[in-house]
Amino acid sequence: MSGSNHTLNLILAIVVTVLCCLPLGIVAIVFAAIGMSRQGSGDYAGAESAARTARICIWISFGLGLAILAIYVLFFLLLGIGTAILGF
Amino acid sequence: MVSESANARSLPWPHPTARRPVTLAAWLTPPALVICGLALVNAVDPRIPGNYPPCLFLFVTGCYCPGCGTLRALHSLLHGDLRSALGYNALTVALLPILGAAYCYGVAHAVGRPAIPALRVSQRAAWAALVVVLAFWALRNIPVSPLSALAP
Repeated sequence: MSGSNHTLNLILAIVVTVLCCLPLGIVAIVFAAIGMSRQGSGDYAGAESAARTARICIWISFGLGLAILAIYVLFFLLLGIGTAILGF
Repeated sequence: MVSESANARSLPWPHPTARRPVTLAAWLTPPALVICGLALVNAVDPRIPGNYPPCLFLFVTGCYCPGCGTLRALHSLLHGDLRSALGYNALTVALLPILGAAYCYGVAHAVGRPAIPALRVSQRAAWAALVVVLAFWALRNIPVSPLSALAP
Protein backbone atom coordinates (compact mmCIF):
# COMPACT_ATOMS: atom_id res chain seq x y z
CA MET A 1 0.00 0.00 0.00
CA SER A 2 1.23 3.49 -0.72
CA GLY A 3 0.54 6.01 1.99
CA SER A 4 -1.28 8.62 -0.07
CA ASN A 5 -5.01 9.05 -0.05
CA HIS A 6 -5.76 8.95 -3.77
CA THR A 7 -9.48 9.51 -3.29
CA LEU A 8 -8.87 12.70 -1.34
CA ASN A 9 -6.39 13.84 -4.03
CA LEU A 10 -9.04 13.27 -6.68
CA ILE A 11 -11.73 15.19 -4.78
CA LEU A 12 -9.38 18.12 -4.08
CA ALA A 13 -8.22 18.12 -7.72
CA ILE A 14 -11.82 18.39 -8.94
CA VAL A 15 -12.58 21.11 -6.40
CA VAL A 16 -9.60 23.27 -7.43
CA THR A 17 -10.47 22.76 -11.10
CA VAL A 18 -14.01 23.98 -10.57
CA LEU A 19 -13.24 26.77 -8.11
CA CYS A 20 -9.92 28.07 -9.42
CA CYS A 21 -10.73 27.49 -13.10
CA LEU A 22 -7.14 26.70 -13.96
CA PRO A 23 -6.11 24.13 -16.58
CA LEU A 24 -3.57 22.88 -14.02
CA GLY A 25 -6.53 21.46 -12.07
CA ILE A 26 -7.19 19.10 -15.00
CA VAL A 27 -3.55 17.94 -14.79
CA ALA A 28 -4.10 17.31 -11.07
CA ILE A 29 -7.20 15.19 -11.80
CA VAL A 30 -5.24 13.18 -14.38
CA PHE A 31 -2.38 12.48 -11.95
CA ALA A 32 -4.78 11.60 -9.13
CA ALA A 33 -6.49 9.11 -11.45
CA ILE A 34 -3.12 7.72 -12.61
CA GLY A 35 -2.12 7.29 -8.96
CA MET A 36 -5.31 5.36 -8.35
CA SER A 37 -4.77 3.13 -11.38
CA ARG A 38 -1.19 2.34 -10.36
CA GLN A 39 -2.33 1.62 -6.81
CA GLY A 40 -4.86 -0.81 -8.25
CA SER A 41 -2.26 -2.59 -10.38
CA GLY A 42 0.19 -2.91 -7.48
CA ASP A 43 2.73 -0.30 -8.63
CA TYR A 44 2.94 1.39 -5.23
CA ALA A 45 6.08 3.45 -5.95
CA GLY A 46 4.52 4.73 -9.17
CA ALA A 47 1.26 5.45 -7.37
CA GLU A 48 3.10 7.43 -4.70
CA SER A 49 4.98 9.52 -7.29
CA ALA A 50 1.77 10.24 -9.24
CA ALA A 51 0.02 11.21 -6.00
CA ARG A 52 2.91 13.58 -5.17
CA THR A 53 2.62 15.22 -8.60
CA ALA A 54 -1.15 15.52 -8.14
CA ARG A 55 -0.69 17.16 -4.74
CA ILE A 56 1.85 19.64 -6.14
CA CYS A 57 -0.57 20.56 -8.94
CA ILE A 58 -3.41 20.94 -6.42
CA TRP A 59 -1.38 23.30 -4.20
CA ILE A 60 -0.08 25.37 -7.12
CA SER A 61 -3.63 25.67 -8.52
CA PHE A 62 -4.95 26.64 -5.10
CA GLY A 63 -2.19 29.20 -4.48
CA LEU A 64 -2.38 30.69 -7.97
CA GLY A 65 -6.17 30.76 -7.84
CA LEU A 66 -6.09 32.58 -4.52
CA ALA A 67 -3.39 35.03 -5.66
CA ILE A 68 -5.11 35.80 -8.95
CA LEU A 69 -8.44 36.23 -7.17
CA ALA A 70 -6.87 38.65 -4.66
CA ILE A 71 -5.19 40.75 -7.38
CA TYR A 72 -8.35 40.70 -9.46
CA VAL A 73 -10.67 41.76 -6.62
CA LEU A 74 -8.16 44.47 -5.63
CA PHE A 75 -8.12 45.69 -9.24
CA PHE A 76 -11.92 46.00 -9.26
CA LEU A 77 -11.92 47.69 -5.85
CA LEU A 78 -9.34 50.26 -7.02
CA LEU A 79 -11.31 50.74 -10.24
CA GLY A 80 -14.45 51.41 -8.21
CA ILE A 81 -12.70 53.79 -5.84
CA GLY A 82 -10.99 55.52 -8.76
CA THR A 83 -14.20 56.12 -10.68
CA ALA A 84 -15.90 57.29 -7.47
CA ILE A 85 -13.13 59.84 -6.79
CA LEU A 86 -12.90 61.06 -10.38
CA GLY A 87 -16.68 61.19 -10.54
CA PHE A 88 -17.29 59.33 -13.80
CA MET B 1 1.85 29.68 16.78
CA VAL B 2 5.12 27.89 15.99
CA SER B 3 5.72 26.74 19.55
CA GLU B 4 2.12 25.58 19.75
CA SER B 5 2.40 23.35 16.68
CA ALA B 6 5.77 22.00 17.85
CA ASN B 7 4.16 21.18 21.16
CA ALA B 8 1.25 19.46 19.45
CA ARG B 9 3.67 17.32 17.45
CA SER B 10 5.40 16.02 20.57
CA LEU B 11 2.19 15.07 22.40
CA PRO B 12 0.53 11.72 21.66
CA TRP B 13 -2.77 13.47 21.02
CA PRO B 14 -5.27 13.27 19.27
CA HIS B 15 -4.18 9.68 18.60
CA PRO B 16 -0.80 7.97 18.23
CA THR B 17 -1.78 6.45 14.87
CA ALA B 18 -2.85 9.76 13.34
CA ARG B 19 -0.22 10.71 10.77
CA ARG B 20 -0.09 14.33 11.84
CA PRO B 21 -1.97 15.87 14.76
CA VAL B 22 -4.47 18.39 13.50
CA THR B 23 -5.03 21.34 15.79
CA LEU B 24 -8.50 22.61 16.57
CA ALA B 25 -7.74 25.80 14.62
CA ALA B 26 -6.87 23.75 11.55
CA TRP B 27 -10.19 21.87 11.74
CA LEU B 28 -12.25 24.99 12.24
CA THR B 29 -10.59 27.23 9.65
CA PRO B 30 -12.29 25.75 6.55
CA PRO B 31 -15.85 25.83 7.98
CA ALA B 32 -15.24 29.32 9.41
CA LEU B 33 -14.14 30.59 5.99
CA VAL B 34 -17.07 28.83 4.33
CA ILE B 35 -19.56 30.40 6.77
CA CYS B 36 -18.06 33.88 6.20
CA GLY B 37 -18.26 33.36 2.43
CA LEU B 38 -21.85 32.11 2.60
CA ALA B 39 -22.84 35.08 4.79
CA LEU B 40 -21.36 37.44 2.19
CA VAL B 41 -23.11 35.66 -0.69
CA ASN B 42 -26.35 35.70 1.28
CA ALA B 43 -26.07 39.42 2.03
CA VAL B 44 -24.87 40.62 -1.39
CA ASP B 45 -26.94 39.17 -4.23
CA PRO B 46 -24.63 37.69 -6.93
CA ARG B 47 -27.49 37.69 -9.46
CA ILE B 48 -27.19 41.47 -9.80
CA PRO B 49 -24.36 42.26 -12.26
CA GLY B 50 -21.69 44.47 -10.76
CA ASN B 51 -22.06 43.21 -7.21
CA TYR B 52 -19.12 40.86 -7.75
CA PRO B 53 -16.39 41.02 -10.37
CA PRO B 54 -17.09 38.65 -13.29
CA CYS B 55 -15.32 35.28 -13.47
CA LEU B 56 -11.75 35.94 -14.67
CA PHE B 57 -11.84 33.07 -17.16
CA LEU B 58 -15.11 34.40 -18.64
CA PHE B 59 -13.71 37.94 -18.63
CA VAL B 60 -10.56 36.92 -20.53
CA THR B 61 -11.78 34.19 -22.88
CA GLY B 62 -15.51 34.89 -23.20
CA CYS B 63 -16.20 31.22 -22.41
CA TYR B 64 -17.78 29.82 -19.26
CA CYS B 65 -15.47 27.94 -16.91
CA PRO B 66 -16.71 24.88 -14.94
CA GLY B 67 -17.07 27.14 -11.88
CA CYS B 68 -19.10 29.93 -13.48
CA GLY B 69 -22.39 30.42 -11.66
CA THR B 70 -21.12 29.02 -8.36
CA LEU B 71 -21.96 32.17 -6.35
CA ARG B 72 -25.46 32.37 -7.85
CA ALA B 73 -25.95 28.64 -7.22
CA LEU B 74 -24.91 29.06 -3.57
CA HIS B 75 -27.17 32.09 -3.20
CA SER B 76 -30.10 30.07 -4.60
CA LEU B 77 -29.34 27.15 -2.30
CA LEU B 78 -29.25 29.49 0.72
CA HIS B 79 -32.74 30.57 -0.26
CA GLY B 80 -33.89 26.97 -0.65
CA ASP B 81 -34.18 27.13 -4.42
CA LEU B 82 -32.53 23.91 -5.56
CA ARG B 83 -33.93 24.13 -9.09
CA SER B 84 -32.30 27.53 -9.77
CA ALA B 85 -29.09 26.36 -8.10
CA LEU B 86 -28.90 23.39 -10.49
CA GLY B 87 -29.55 25.77 -13.37
CA TYR B 88 -26.69 28.08 -12.39
CA ASN B 89 -24.08 25.37 -11.80
CA ALA B 90 -25.15 21.74 -11.54
CA LEU B 91 -21.57 20.53 -11.04
CA THR B 92 -20.99 22.69 -7.96
CA VAL B 93 -24.28 21.55 -6.42
CA ALA B 94 -23.27 17.93 -7.05
CA LEU B 95 -19.82 18.52 -5.52
CA LEU B 96 -21.10 20.05 -2.28
CA PRO B 97 -22.20 16.79 -0.56
CA ILE B 98 -18.98 15.08 -1.73
CA LEU B 99 -16.94 17.95 -0.29
CA GLY B 100 -18.84 17.77 3.01
CA ALA B 101 -18.29 14.01 3.19
CA ALA B 102 -14.57 14.45 2.43
CA TYR B 103 -14.28 17.03 5.22
CA CYS B 104 -16.05 14.80 7.77
CA TYR B 105 -13.89 11.88 6.68
CA GLY B 106 -10.72 13.95 7.04
CA VAL B 107 -11.64 15.18 10.51
CA ALA B 108 -12.72 11.73 11.71
CA HIS B 109 -9.45 10.18 10.52
CA ALA B 110 -7.36 13.04 11.91
CA VAL B 111 -8.75 12.33 15.37
CA GLY B 112 -7.87 8.68 14.81
CA ARG B 113 -11.49 7.67 15.09
CA PRO B 114 -12.58 6.57 11.63
CA ALA B 115 -16.26 6.38 12.58
CA ILE B 116 -17.08 7.18 8.97
CA PRO B 117 -16.25 4.40 6.50
CA ALA B 118 -13.26 5.23 4.33
CA LEU B 119 -14.00 7.14 1.15
CA ARG B 120 -13.09 4.89 -1.73
CA VAL B 121 -13.49 5.67 -5.38
CA SER B 122 -12.86 3.03 -8.05
CA GLN B 123 -10.35 3.73 -10.82
CA ARG B 124 -13.13 3.77 -13.36
CA ALA B 125 -14.98 6.42 -11.31
CA ALA B 126 -11.79 8.51 -11.15
CA TRP B 127 -11.46 8.62 -14.94
CA ALA B 128 -15.22 9.17 -15.24
CA ALA B 129 -14.89 12.21 -12.97
CA LEU B 130 -12.28 13.69 -15.32
CA VAL B 131 -14.57 13.10 -18.31
CA VAL B 132 -17.53 14.63 -16.46
CA VAL B 133 -15.63 17.83 -15.58
CA LEU B 134 -14.22 18.24 -19.11
CA ALA B 135 -17.61 17.45 -20.72
CA PHE B 136 -19.39 19.90 -18.41
CA TRP B 137 -16.83 22.60 -19.25
CA ALA B 138 -17.20 22.03 -23.01
CA LEU B 139 -20.95 21.42 -23.22
CA ARG B 140 -22.03 24.46 -21.19
CA ASN B 141 -20.34 26.67 -23.78
CA ILE B 142 -22.45 25.29 -26.63
CA PRO B 143 -25.46 27.60 -27.01
CA VAL B 144 -27.88 24.94 -28.29
CA SER B 145 -31.22 24.39 -26.57
CA PRO B 146 -30.71 21.26 -24.40
CA LEU B 147 -27.06 22.09 -23.63
CA SER B 148 -27.70 25.73 -22.79
CA ALA B 149 -29.37 24.49 -19.59
CA LEU B 150 -25.84 23.80 -18.31
CA ALA B 151 -24.78 27.43 -18.83
CA PRO B 152 -25.14 29.75 -15.82
